[in-house]
Amino acid sequence: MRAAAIALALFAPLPDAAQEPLRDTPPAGADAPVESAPEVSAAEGRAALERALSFLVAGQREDGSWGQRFPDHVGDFGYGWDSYYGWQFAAHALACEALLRAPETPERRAALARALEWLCASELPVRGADWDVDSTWAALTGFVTCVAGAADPRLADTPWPERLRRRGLELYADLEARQTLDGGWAYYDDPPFTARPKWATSFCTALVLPPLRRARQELGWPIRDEVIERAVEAVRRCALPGGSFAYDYNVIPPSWTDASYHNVKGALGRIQVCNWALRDAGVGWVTDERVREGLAAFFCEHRWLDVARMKPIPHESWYQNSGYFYFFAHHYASHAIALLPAAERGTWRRKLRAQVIKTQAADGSFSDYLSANYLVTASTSYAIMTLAAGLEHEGAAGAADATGAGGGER
Amino acid sequence: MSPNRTPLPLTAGACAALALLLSSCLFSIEAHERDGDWRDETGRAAGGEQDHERAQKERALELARGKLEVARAAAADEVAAAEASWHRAEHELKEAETALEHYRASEAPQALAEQELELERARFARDGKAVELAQMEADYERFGAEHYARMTKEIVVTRARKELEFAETRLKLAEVERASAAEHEIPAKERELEQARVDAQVALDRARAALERTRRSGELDVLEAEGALLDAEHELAQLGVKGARPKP
Repeated sequence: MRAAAIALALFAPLPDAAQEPLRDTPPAGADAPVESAPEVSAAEGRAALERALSFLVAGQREDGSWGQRFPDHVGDFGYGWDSYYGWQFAAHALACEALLRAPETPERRAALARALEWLCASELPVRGADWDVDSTWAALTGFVTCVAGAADPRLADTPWPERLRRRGLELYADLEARQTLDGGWAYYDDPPFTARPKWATSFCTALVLPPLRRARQELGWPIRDEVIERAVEAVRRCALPGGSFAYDYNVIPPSWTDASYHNVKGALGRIQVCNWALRDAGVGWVTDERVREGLAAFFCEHRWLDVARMKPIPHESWYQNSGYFYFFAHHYASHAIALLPAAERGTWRRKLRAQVIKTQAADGSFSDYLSANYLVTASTSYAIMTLAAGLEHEGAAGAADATGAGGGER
Repeated sequence: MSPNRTPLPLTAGACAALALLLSSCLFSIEAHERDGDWRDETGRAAGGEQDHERAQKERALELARGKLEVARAAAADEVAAAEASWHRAEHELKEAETALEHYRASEAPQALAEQELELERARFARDGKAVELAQMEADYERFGAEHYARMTKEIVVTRARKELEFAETRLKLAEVERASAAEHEIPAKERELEQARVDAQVALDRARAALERTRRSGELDVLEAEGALLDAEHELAQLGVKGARPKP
């Protein structure tokens, strides 16, 4: 299926002759990196964050959920029917995580309670089709949120840690059952279709690795060492010379010198999450310098994410970037920033917020791909978490505070 | 002496010799008719000529019998072939009638229904592309204010707009194809099958007539052969009982 998606992107109809044709390599002169990136003040960050949170809370249903379990955008037709619920569940989990990370107000606390109730009480998503394992997104983000919620000190004296533990372990069981032989996770399978899928991506695997480790080490959840070790190895094997990470693990390593989606310009959304995951797992070569290089590349080459955002066909943009990695990439860039010494973080965060705020809609929402409800929920949630990260420690003028400590930053 | 004049004594002598020769011949014929067993001047028996004539008649009789046999067989064979042609023509008429009936009852409505389906598909695709374009425009209106999104918006929107144009053209073509099918192709096909049925009916009528003609022609051939046989038998019988040889 992913091959079909890539083929669809490569052979998509060209725009008419008056427009710049889509192509795999950029026009001459456009490939030069941008050395400087704009920054925004903390006040701008807070204003954008408040608008985004207002949008998110206002869009919550009475039952605590966001989105719906059916397609609401013509660009989403053709997936397994249960995948739409999987996406709704995944986006809902991100909204919960966003509320967990957001500055608390009574309204948001109430919204969080309703949201966690839906997260814990709703039915578990199932595989949508033999080829379509998109419900993995629900298991991944759901588990991440359950760990974040169970570890949140504000919820310590409530029933939530135990309820989130139960739901988290249900989602973990799903992850354990679907961990590929290579040790990772993804969202499609290829023939011959098997109960345990065979395809894993670096970024899906990386995003859940630190929460898996945290659940075992800090929360004492029964997470098997073998699951974590194999996942670490799956991500590590995707590392390429030059600081990039392959989209997926290949026995025959992809070329890292050509203009493919494996190189840095096509991997901007993966480098940060993979560095964060491997650093958390103790892989020694993911040093501060390596993290800085990843972040520097992120901002220098950011226009490839910019130009891919809003493109409605997966991987149709240059270096086969997909629009829907935009906010994912920024969210995990904020995690990568948190790995650096506190004194460095403020500058990175102001640059990061600038790239997020510029995409905010007038109603406070965000989207990087389609206007389907689950995508707006997911994009807005990622944007909220990115904007909120470290903001409480910055002064009104936007300078990093003296400590630079990132409360809640992990 | 003139070369045209014959001497008188020579002429008288020749006349006397001729008279003697004629009287000798008359004597020989009378003796032959009386004895019934004469020989010609070369010395052979006069009865051999009669045997030859009988043999001729007998051969003629055998030939007539053979021809009658062949005429009967040929007549039967040709009638059988004509009957087969008739059955074939009858079958082809039924096939033509069935094809016409099936086309009218099933194929034509199905062809029309398929055209209607294509038309509906084209209409649905056009509506879908219109919705898609509207969604793209709305998406860019809501989320596309950023520099790069504005810069590349037209790539996406123009593509969606062109796809809508293609879908509209496809819909127009489907409307033309549907009208062409309903007003031209299906009636033309029906006329073709109707003509095939008429042709098959004509072919059957012709086959039936050919069968009758073949039957009659065969009967005449047999009748002619039978007549020839009777003639041959009669001629052989005219030669008399004497010397008749038994039939083989």
